[in-house]
Amino acid sequence: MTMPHLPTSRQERKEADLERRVERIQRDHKFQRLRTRNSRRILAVISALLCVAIIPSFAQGGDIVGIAVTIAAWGSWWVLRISTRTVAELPERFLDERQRAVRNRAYFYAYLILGYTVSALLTIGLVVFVLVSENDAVTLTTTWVQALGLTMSLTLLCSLLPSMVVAWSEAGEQSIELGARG
Amino acid sequence: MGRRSKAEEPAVFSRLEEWRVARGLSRQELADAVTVHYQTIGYLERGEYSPSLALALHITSVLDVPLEELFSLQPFTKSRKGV
Repeated sequence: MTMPHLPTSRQERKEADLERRVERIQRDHKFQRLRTRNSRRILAVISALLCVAIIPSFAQGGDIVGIAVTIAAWGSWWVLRISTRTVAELPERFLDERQRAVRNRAYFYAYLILGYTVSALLTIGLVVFVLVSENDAVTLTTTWVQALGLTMSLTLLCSLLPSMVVAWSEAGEQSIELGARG
Repeated sequence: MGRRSKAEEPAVFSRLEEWRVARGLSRQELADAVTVHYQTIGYLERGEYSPSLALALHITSVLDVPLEELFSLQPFTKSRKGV
């Protein structure tokens, strides 16, 4: 009879613990009501609203309100993770091929949404600053050009980055003739 | 439910559910045997996900069914035989 391998090092124990937690959430049936399409979409909207609400809650409501909204946002993230079985966050080795496809698609859309939102916000912020600022230290004569430059730079970077990653990571293509032997 | 449009039709048609039930396996048991999540088996059975060649071959070997009996690019017309 062979003895089961028990984790000895700290790294092995950490890995074994992660595997147990993944197994638990992947096989969980307790929270199926959170896993319908409607529930997931409602949770996604609530999480988004809470994340956005953090900024005005600190600015307008003070520290206590701000911290409360931040904790609520963390809570919504936790529920969202249960709802999606943490597919978006797990290492690749814990996901099957369909889950990997789901995660890759999620990161694709998340990248587009985040990239263009940040670009738009920065551009709007700069334009608003130019319009309302009375700060003489800023050189206003070139600011519109700077705003245009910032917009073009960030937008192009968002568009180019995926192709840059593919260009960096993909192997070179073979010549079409190389496929034929003899 | 109305008829699905051409764009919504599955790329790969499947008789996985029929064969799985015929072999007396639950979704969880089949999923464990081919090391995927049980939801993935459901997606495959509904034609909402097309498996990789490796996964398709793995499933055929677990169910002991020829590949063309389980998956097809054309809709299945005849009922299966030899179950």
